[in-house]
Amino acid sequence: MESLVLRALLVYVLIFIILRMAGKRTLGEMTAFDLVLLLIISEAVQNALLDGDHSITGSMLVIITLVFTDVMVSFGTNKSRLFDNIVNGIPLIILENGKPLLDRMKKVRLQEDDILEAARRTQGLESMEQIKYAVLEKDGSISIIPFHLNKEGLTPDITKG
Amino acid sequence: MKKDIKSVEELYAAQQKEWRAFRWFWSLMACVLLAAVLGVFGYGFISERTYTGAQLQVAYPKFMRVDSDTQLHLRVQDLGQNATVGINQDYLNKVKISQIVPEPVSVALDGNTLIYKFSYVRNGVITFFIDPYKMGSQRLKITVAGEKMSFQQYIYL
Repeated sequence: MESLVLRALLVYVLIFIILRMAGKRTLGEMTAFDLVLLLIISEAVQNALLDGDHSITGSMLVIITLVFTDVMVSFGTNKSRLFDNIVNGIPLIILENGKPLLDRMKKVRLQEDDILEAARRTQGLESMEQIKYAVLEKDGSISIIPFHLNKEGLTPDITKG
Repeated sequence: MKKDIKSVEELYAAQQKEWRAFRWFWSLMACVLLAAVLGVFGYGFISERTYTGAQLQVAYPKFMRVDSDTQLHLRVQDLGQNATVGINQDYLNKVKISQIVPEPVSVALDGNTLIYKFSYVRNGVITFFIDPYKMGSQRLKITVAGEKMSFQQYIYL
């Protein structure tokens, strides 16, 4: 058996590439199916990582390798913007001034309902018109920036113009 | 005692200590991983030892891990018919020999020595597949055609 450290490092890189290529939605907006997928992946990865090595030393080496690699990657993303963009992706505006940017939403596999859900959950908003910007963040979550409300109440500025 | 946001700042010294501890631990992790890659915990440059004798070459692991299979290779020259390989029996206190290739025709016990007899051995490799099951150090004593050798091994948990 080759080194467990190199094996764990290889698995880390491969899993990272696979999940990164799957897109943000897999990580951020996890559905029941995504959860099942991750559970199955973790089972498959376990065999690849340990390959019959049932020793505590072996398990610890794998864990240390994964945690240390994660720490090093976080150092790298902190030092280099380019590396950060590659590893973590970039934020994407998916709605501007109440108007969803449908071409972008299609590319990232999001529906208007996803934006409305995030708006309800994080800001208590009821409709698209109340949203100034919706941003799909690096981690796959959706940030909602509402219009500032006027004195009359809930009507956003955009509907007055 | 009145608590406000300033009380959080009083803990900043502790936070700095924690950061120092983190950095120290990361360095420790790096050292452990480097040692692991080199083979200090088995399966690497430091662990894989070779002994060359008059009639044989023994490739054995210096470090092993519990429940992690490994091998012992004996590269032998012409031992002819009824060649024997002896291994100290107390070696099996911490290690299980799961398979031997080629298969010996017989195994006998002579005192503390297990004697594996092979029908014919000439310029080949005898492989012992071993499965450590107990932690600790142990001595492997091998006897081939009157030549005795002894190696110290260590098994990690």
